[in-house]
Amino acid sequence: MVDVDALILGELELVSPLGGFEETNWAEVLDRAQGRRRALSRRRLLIALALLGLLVAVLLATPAFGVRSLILDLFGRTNIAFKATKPAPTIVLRQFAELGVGAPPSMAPQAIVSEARTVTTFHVNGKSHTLWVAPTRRGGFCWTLSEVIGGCLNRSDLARAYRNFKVPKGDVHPELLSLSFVAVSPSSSLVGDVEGVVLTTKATRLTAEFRDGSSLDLPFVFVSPPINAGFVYWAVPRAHRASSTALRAITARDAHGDVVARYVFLPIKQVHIHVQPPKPGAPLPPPPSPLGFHIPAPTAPFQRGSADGASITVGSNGVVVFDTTGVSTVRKALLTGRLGVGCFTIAHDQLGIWPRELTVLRGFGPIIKIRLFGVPHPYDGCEIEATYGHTWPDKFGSHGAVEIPLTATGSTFFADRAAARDLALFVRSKRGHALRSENGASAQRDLAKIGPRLVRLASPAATPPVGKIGYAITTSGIVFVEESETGKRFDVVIENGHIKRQNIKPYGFVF
Amino acid sequence: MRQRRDRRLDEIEGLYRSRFPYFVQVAQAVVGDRERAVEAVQDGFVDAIRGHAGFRGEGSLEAWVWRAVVNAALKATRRPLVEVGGEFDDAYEVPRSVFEASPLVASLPERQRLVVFLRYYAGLDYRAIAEALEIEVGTVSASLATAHASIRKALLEVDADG
Repeated sequence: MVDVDALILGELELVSPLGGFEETNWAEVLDRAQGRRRALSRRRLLIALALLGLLVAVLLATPAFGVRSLILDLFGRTNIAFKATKPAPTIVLRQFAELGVGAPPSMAPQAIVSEARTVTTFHVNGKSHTLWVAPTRRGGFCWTLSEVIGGCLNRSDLARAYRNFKVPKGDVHPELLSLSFVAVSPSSSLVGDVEGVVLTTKATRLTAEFRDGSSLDLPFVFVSPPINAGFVYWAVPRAHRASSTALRAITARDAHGDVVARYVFLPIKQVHIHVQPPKPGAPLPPPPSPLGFHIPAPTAPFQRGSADGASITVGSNGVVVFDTTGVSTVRKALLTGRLGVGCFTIAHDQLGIWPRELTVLRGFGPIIKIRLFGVPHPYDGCEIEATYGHTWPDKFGSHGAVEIPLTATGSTFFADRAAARDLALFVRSKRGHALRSENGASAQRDLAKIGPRLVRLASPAATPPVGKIGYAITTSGIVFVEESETGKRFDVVIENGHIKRQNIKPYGFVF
Repeated sequence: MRQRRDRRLDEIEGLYRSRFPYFVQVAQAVVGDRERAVEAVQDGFVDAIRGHAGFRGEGSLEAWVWRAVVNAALKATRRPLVEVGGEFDDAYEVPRSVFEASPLVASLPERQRLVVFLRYYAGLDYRAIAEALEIEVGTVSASLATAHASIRKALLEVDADG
């Protein structure tokens, strides 16, 4: 069962992540509703900022005031000692660890997660973006800028590029300034926001050069070894988002003012690729491997397991061979279309249980062979999930179509996940949503109609028998509870029509 | 009458205090950035308080407040509002940040987008979404099913290609 709702929620999380309550200001709402003006209206704020800008311009243009160099420091290089930075939060450690999932060893960045650090915060377009970095075992580093971008750079690859790339005398290597940008609009080639990495330690100034001949120094941070690189994130000012005044290049200069790196923003050209159709009757090329490369045989030491009519052989090279010839006809009937085939290892950190998994999409067959990269070996379990959808009650009791535990931890995970998913599917269902807005008597009546899978609990703290969903009606809502075969208790607390508390994650989700 | 109004004001404040992040989440998905989203939520609640005498209790108060916030967010895009009883015709431009974050979500028609936001971010049921957007429940259902199918198809294709 590939959870499409989870995929959609993931996509929506990119559009608008959930924030906190920090910005609530009920007093302002009341004041404005009663006709009082805001403490500082937007218009007055703009005027104040314009006056401040004018004052700064006067100070900058008048060396006698002696503040020019002081202010320019704000727009230059800020050095940050790697050792003085704080460790990155656990959620970011997970992100760095998962950068290698799915990548073959030669391409995996191998970030040293335990060394991940919080560097600084960029304030761009009215939003704050935190920069986190981590060195890699390959001599490079990875970085991520919250809600913007991230990546990894490998210094040995760069060194090889330097050797092979002949730079004309007097010119600078183009790779020393590794920038990416977002256009002003989807249909425009003008640069809007710029993000990137400065790879030369000599750079002390970054200067944006515009098509109208003007220029502007940019702020950037430079992180000491083992990162040894600079980072910039900057939004092109509104005045330079027109064709005649747009950003042309960014130049890095050393302390002497000499250019040490330069990135020129070339106009984006549409490229039309014409594909020659095959001639009628010509032999077709062989079909490509589903992964684009050959999957070898599993290598020792092996892990083996079987369940639900299927057996698997797992190699230490990440190759997993599923033999599904014994799967029942009932299960096979549901294993149609694209299936999620994968394995997982269970880890634990400060955030709790952390399933590290990789699932690839495959069609059903008697033998299914996959290769997984980046999931720590040995695995705790493997599975084949059908993509038939998700309704409550689920056809497989919220289990995957084929679940093969390889360790006791894997068995526990499968059991706990099934219980959590079962409860989540019910709470998310149409009936579950309808119940949220009901009060005691009507809720009791409608819950009783659902059938024997639901049982009434003596209190919200009680636990129903395994396989049942328990409910307790409270003064402000309903508490739903389900217990796994392992004894793990899941609950969802509904208050005033909304989910107040739940412990379904990371096994499933509710909304 | 006065007591009822006071109680309603309390209920609106309760919604503000208990659901603020979700209001901001939906507004941000409409306007494209957090700062303007917070402003839109404030504007929406100001409108809700000013007009709460006009709430006749025919639907849920929460849906009615959601309507005020969604309208304030749409207004913040400086494009025409969703007119009461009017047609959704992609009246506002999808903010650049939304397009960059998810071309898939941005590509949905406006009504489907709003229905998806209210369903997934706000967790509203079909009836509340219908009341908030002043459309039929069946239209909510159809919009959601179509949006769901589009996103599901595209995501599974991307996943398969990836």
